[in-house]
Amino acid sequence: MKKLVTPFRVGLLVLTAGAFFFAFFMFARKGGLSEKESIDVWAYFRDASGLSPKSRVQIAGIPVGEISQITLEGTRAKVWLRIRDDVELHEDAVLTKRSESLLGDYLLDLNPGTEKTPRMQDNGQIRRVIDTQGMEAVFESLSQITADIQQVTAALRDVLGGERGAGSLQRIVENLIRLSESVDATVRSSGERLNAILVNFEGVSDDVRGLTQENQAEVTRIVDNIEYITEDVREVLATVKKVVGANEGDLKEGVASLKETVQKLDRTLGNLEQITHNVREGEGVVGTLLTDRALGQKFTDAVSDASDYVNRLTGLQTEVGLNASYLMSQGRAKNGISLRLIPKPDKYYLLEIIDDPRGLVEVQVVQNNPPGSGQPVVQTQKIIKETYKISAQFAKRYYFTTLRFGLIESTGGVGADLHMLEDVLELKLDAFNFSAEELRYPRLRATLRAQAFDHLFVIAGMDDILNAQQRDTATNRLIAGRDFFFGGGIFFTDDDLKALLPSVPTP
Amino acid sequence: MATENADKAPKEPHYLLQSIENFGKGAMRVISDIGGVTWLGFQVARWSARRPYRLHNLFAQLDFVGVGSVFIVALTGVFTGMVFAHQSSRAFELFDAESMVGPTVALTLTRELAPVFSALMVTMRAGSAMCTELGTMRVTEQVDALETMAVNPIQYLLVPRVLSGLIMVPVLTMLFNTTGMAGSYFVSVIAKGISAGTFLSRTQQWVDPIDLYEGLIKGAIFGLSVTLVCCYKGYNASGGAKGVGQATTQAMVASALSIFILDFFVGVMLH
Repeated sequence: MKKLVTPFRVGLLVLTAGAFFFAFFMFARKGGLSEKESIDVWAYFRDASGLSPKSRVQIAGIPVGEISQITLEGTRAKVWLRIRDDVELHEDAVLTKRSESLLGDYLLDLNPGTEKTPRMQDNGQIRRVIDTQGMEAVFESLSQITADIQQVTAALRDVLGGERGAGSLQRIVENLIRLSESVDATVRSSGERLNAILVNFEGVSDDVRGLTQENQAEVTRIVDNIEYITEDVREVLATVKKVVGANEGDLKEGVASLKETVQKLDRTLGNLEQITHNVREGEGVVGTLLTDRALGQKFTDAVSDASDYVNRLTGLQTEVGLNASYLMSQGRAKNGISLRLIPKPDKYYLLEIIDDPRGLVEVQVVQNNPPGSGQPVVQTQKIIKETYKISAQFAKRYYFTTLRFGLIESTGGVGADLHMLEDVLELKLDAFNFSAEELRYPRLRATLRAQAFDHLFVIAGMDDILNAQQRDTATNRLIAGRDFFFGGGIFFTDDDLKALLPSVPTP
Repeated sequence: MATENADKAPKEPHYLLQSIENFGKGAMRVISDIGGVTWLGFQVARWSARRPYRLHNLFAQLDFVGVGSVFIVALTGVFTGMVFAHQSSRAFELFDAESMVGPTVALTLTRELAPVFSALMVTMRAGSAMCTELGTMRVTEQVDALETMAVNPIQYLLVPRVLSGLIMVPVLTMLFNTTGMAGSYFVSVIAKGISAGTFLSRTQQWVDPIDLYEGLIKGAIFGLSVTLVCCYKGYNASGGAKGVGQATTQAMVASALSIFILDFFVGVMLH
């Protein structure tokens, strides 16, 4: 059997690599449209730069084929396309070369044409080709604009350039100066007459506005009054109709009921007056509460405290997690359950119960008194206990670093977390077990934690980096020293738990 | 009398002549090494076809070169993919073309990085061990002892080692490709937020099986050259422990150089 181990390991590696190769091959393999399921068509392009065999051909963003071949015919590029035969391609189809980004990634947009023309046959030609799109078109437009600007500047140079042009320009400027002086003189000479006219216009317009305003107010009041009156009359009539009833028989009952209601209302108002009187005088609980300033302040404080408490309770986030890691030198798994209470985003309390295969090493000093010799014998015993370890830590975050301290695996310790890539990746460092006799240095652990999905994470790292390995002679169990580990875990926040718990079946 | 002796003492050569002589010696050594490695390759090819085949030796070397390098190659692959995706995404962000991160990483890995890095890892981990082991056997006359017992040392010692490099480096290249793409996916999609569909579809669009073949062919060539160079240096070591150490150092340098030089020429020939 031992002879088979090496070939087995080699075979396993080769099979794994073969499986990867097959998967990669299937992934990278293009559609590879066969001749049976496609038709070949071609088109001439003045410029086929950026296109290459296997470039996509798409309709409305959906790939329907690919370029199969590009050849040179004279000064044009003949581009052969292989198109899926379920695409109804007509002879008025249009092919457009389009760049996908600034990097010159080109594809062909295909407009399959209309039913007015016959269907495209195999080896047919697409005659309508637009091969300057995207950035090329932009550059072409810019080129045209530049040419236009050059023409304008050239014309200006012809008109204004040289001594003749300079003389014409000077004459134009002189004419403009004379024109502006003439306009200024005219305005100055007619200024007083214009002022008088404007004052008259202003007076007339004031009179007209006063008259119209006065009349408008009266008319508005009249209209408003009529509107109010009609509304009141409508309401009164509706009320009378409701109270009295539709016929005469209901009239007496209505009046009696109204009288009784008025009497009840009168008594109620009397009671209300008595109550308000008592409150004002500070009698009763409500009166004392309203009139005693000290008591009112206490009441306000109590309400404020209660509000703060409720806010803290509602803001508290809870996270429950399970994790497991395989210790490579130990050859066993380490499991843990954790509870993270997060009152604020930048701090949390972490409680963990951990099942560590290293166990807890307890040192006991045993003194034996043999009956014969009289000399006591002192022995030191190391006892490894299979027990759960507890962590209870307080953590506070500063920017990309979280600092922790408290109880780590049932001993005092400190820790730091470095958050990277928007908290997807964390480097965690823990130092604890500072006073254990079996350890030369404190236990230092480095863990790389990567959040793979919303609720899943994977971890890998090294435990007890500073110490050499020590094993229990009886069980060969690792009790101290370096050990690589890897594993993962799952965690849920209280929102997830709220969603999960109702779906758990109850017995 | 003293004057006569001084005249007979050899003259110190001019430093320019000395430099030319050293350069010539170095060039001769390099050319003779290339010839020696090539000749050793022929001998390995000839002896690998002859009986007895000693499959046990071959599998032991396959295990040592291949299975023993899995962890280091996978780890290198993951971090190479992650770093490359991180840096290329920063560059592509400038052009609003983050969708090209996947294809860029995939093409670079499959064509260049995977075979080169896998071969370098095998050189460092297994090639050095091969060279040292063979060199020690040579200086302690164990190789001569094999010949005395009518066992051909090339067939017994070198054939399994060279074949293991030829077979296992492409296998490790494929492993590097996979772990590298996984690392790249992690950084691009999960950390950088590039759409998974975009990442995969663009990668699928740009990467062809021919890229994969190119990487695997390169891996096989590098595996062959690395193991041949290391075996040649170790097999011809001399001068005791110091000589073995020097042979190992020379083997590492020559193997790494052969990888990069062959990478260029093979890349040009395949395109």
